[in-house]
Amino acid sequence: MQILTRVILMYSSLKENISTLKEMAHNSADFTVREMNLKDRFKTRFAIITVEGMCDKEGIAITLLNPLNNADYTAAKKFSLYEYIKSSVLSASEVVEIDTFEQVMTFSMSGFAVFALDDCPKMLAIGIQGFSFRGVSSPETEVIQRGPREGFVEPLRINMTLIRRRMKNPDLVFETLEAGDISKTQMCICYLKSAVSQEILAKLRKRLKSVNLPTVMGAGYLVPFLEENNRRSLFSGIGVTERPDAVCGKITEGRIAVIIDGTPSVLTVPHLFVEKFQSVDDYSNRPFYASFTRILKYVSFFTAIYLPALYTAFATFHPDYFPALLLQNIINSVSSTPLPVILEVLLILFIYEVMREAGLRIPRPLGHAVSIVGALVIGEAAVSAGIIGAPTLMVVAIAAICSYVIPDLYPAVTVARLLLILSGGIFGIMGMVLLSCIYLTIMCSKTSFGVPYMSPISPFSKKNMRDVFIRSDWKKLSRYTQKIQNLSGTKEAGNDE
Amino acid sequence: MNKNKVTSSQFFICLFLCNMFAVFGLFKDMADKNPFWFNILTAVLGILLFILACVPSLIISGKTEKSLPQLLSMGTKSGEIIIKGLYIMCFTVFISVIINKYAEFMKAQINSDLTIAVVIAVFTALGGFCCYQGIQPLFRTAVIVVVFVIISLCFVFFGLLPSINYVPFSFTAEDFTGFISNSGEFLIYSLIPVSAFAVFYDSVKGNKKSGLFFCALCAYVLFFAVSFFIDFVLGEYARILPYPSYTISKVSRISMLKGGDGLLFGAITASVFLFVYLFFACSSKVLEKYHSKAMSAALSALVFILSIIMLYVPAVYNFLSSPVLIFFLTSVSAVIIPLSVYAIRKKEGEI
Repeated sequence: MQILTRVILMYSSLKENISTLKEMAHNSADFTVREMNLKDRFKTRFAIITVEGMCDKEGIAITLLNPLNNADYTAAKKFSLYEYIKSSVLSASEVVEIDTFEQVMTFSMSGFAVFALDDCPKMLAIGIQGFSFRGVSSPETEVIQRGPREGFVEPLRINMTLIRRRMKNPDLVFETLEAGDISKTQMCICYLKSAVSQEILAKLRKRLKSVNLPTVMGAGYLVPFLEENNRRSLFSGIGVTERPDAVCGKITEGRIAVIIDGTPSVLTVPHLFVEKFQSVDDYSNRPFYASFTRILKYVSFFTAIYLPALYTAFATFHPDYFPALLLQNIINSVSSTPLPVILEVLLILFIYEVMREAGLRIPRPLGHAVSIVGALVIGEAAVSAGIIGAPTLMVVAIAAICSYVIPDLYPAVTVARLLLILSGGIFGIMGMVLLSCIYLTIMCSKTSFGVPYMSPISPFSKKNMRDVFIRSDWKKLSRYTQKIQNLSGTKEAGNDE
Repeated sequence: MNKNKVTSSQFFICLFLCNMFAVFGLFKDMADKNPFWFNILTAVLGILLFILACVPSLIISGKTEKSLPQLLSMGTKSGEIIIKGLYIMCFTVFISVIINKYAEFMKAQINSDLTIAVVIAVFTALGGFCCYQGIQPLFRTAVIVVVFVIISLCFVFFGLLPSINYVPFSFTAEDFTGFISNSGEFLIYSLIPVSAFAVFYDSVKGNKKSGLFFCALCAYVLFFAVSFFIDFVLGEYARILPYPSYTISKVSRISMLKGGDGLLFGAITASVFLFVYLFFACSSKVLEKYHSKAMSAALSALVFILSIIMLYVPAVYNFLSSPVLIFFLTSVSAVIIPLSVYAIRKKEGEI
C-alpha cells in the first residue's frame, strides 16, 4: 500500500520500469505486460501494460498494435521517437502523458492501456477501456409510467454521458475527484455553472475531500460525510436517484450531483424534505392527477407513521375516541387476545419486518414459500388461535402498504413508526404529540448545505409552494426557475422571509 | 448584528400558540360566574393589555439594534449577573407553573391514573433537548404546528355549530365581581408570552406592530369564540364543569365524525410544548449560550426540581401560580427591566 501512495518517477530503462511495475503490482495475475520491438532502425523495445479484462482487446489492436507495426519510422530519430509515436502514430482519441509509477497503476487499473518505450522516462496512457458492464436499463427502484426508461449504470463515464446527452449546454460542468485510500474510487461532481451557488460548491468539494475512508463501494459510504447537522436524524439531507432526467431537473435548479464510479445511485445536494414526495411521473402527468398522487403520498406517509401508534394509544388510553360501531369489535378483539395492544402491534410489526427482510434476501424460487407461510401463519392461524386480533393485523397491514408508497422514506418511516407506537402505548396521545413535536424540531433545525430542510413549508415561501402539495401546470412552473440557494432561510439568501 | 433572525409572522404565530393553553387549560373557573358579555370585555381588555405590555420592547427595538443581553452586558458585571439570574428565575417559574397546570388538566380530563412527575420529567427533558437544537427551529416548528391547531379548532368549532342554543343572557353586580376575579387570572396568564418578546425583540424582523396586533387579536378572538361556544352550547351545565373550554370539544361532532377532543388535546399538548421550548430558548438567549449541552441540562434540572417541589408542596404551588406573582414576574421581565436598562444606557450615553 505504501508503495502506491509514494510518487516515484520513472527510469529511462524499459526493463527497470517493468520490473518496478511488476513489483508494485505484486506480480498479480491480471497485470499483463506485452513486450515487443518497433520496426525502426534500432529495433527499439516497447511494452503495452494492461490489466486483464479492463481493456478492449480489439481497441488495442486497432489503436495501438496496428499503427505501431505499420508506421514508417525512417523520419524519426532515436531521441525523438517517443514524440513521433505520440503525435503521428497512435490513433486513439484519448492519450495522456504520464511520468510516475503511481499514475501507471491508476490508469491501467482504470482500463487504460499504457504504452512504454525503452530509453524514455515517460509513458502514454491510451483510453481504450473495455470492461464489461450492465447495459443501460430502466431503474428498478424508481419505476415510472411515462417518460424515459434510462437509468444510471455502474461505470462513471457512461453516467456522465447520460447526463450530457440531456443537457447540451457548455455550462454543464463535470469535475472528477477521487475517494478511498485503497479503492481509489473515481467520483464526479456535476453542476450547471450558471445556476450553482459557489458557496455550496466549495462546501461540497471540501466535504468530499474530507472523506477518509479506505474504500468507497457505494453512494451510502459518502452520505455521512456530506450531511450537515443532525446526522442522526431519521431523514436524510442527501438525495439519491438512479434517473438521469431527475438529475438534470435538479441541477437546473442549482443543485449539484455526485456520481460515484461503480454505483448507479447518484447523490444530489442540497436535498429537501418535500423532494421525497416528488417523482418524475408528476411532471409527465396532467397537473390535477399529479396533485392527486402528491396528496396521496403525503396521506400515505402520515398513515404509515401514525396509524399503528394512534390505534395503540386509543385502544390503551382513549377507547372513547373510536367510533361506537367499531369500538365493540375492538373491545371484543382486545379482550380475546392474551397480549396488551402495544405488544400485539409490536409483535406483528416485528414478524412483518422479518418476513420483508427474508423476502429480500431469499433466493427468488423460495420467495413464494415465505409468502405462503407468512400469509397462512400470520394472516390466518395467528388470528384463529387468538394470539393476535384481526383489527390490529389490519392496522399494521395498512401501515405497511402505505410505507411503500414512498420507498425512499421507508427506513425513516419504519423507525419513526416504532418510536411512535412506543410513545403512544406508554403515554397515549400526549406521548405521540410530543414525539411528533420533537421530530418536527429536529427536521426544522436540519439544513442541507445551508438550505433549511423543511423549506419551503417552514420557513414558508408562498411562491415556492407551486410544486409541494399541488403540482402547478408547466406554464406556471416555467415562468421562473427558483434556484435552491435563493430559498428563504438559506445562509446565502439571508434569514427566513 | 443578530444573524439568526425570524420573521414577525413566525414569532407571533409562536406567541399565539403559547397563549392557547391559557384559553383551554386555565379556563377552569371563568365559566362559573362570567356571562358571555363579560367575556367579550375580557377579550377587548386582553388585547389592550397584551399590546401595552409589548410597547416597551417595541420602543427599544425602534431605538437600538442591540439585544437585551447586550444592553445588560454594558453595565457592571454583578448587575448583569443579577438581572440575568432574575430572568432565569422568572422563566423557570413560568415553565414550572405551566407544566404543573397542564399535568393537572391532563389528570382531570384525560387520564386519572396519570403520574404527574412523569409528565414533568418528559417535558423538562424535551425542553432541554430542544433548547440544545437552537432557537430558529422553535419558530419554524410553530409554523407547522399552527396548521394542525387550525385544523383541530376548525373541526371542533364547525362540529359545535348545530348544537348552538340561543338563550338570552342577563348579568348582575355579583357577576361583575366574578368577572374581576376570574378574568384577571386568564388575562395574567395570557400575558406571560409577552416576556419572550422582551428577550427576542432584536431577533424579530418585519412589521412587529401589525404582527403583535394580529397575534393579540387571534388569541383573544379564540378566547371569545370559546366563551361563545361554552355559553351557547353548554349553557348552565358549564358552571359545574372544571374545564368547560375543553368539554366543548367532546360535544363537537361533524356528521358521524367525532374525536374533536382528541384533536384539541393534541393541539393543547403541542402548545404547551412550544411554551416550554420558547422559555427554554429565552433562557439560552438571555445567557447568550446557544447549542450548549451543559446549559440545556442545567436548565432542565432547574425546571424539574422546581416543578417537583411545586407538585409535592402545595404551598409553593399556590404561591408561585398565584396571579399576583405571575403578573409581577411578567411585568418585571417584560416591562420594568427592559425599560430601566434602556433608560440607564441612554442616560449614560452608551446607546
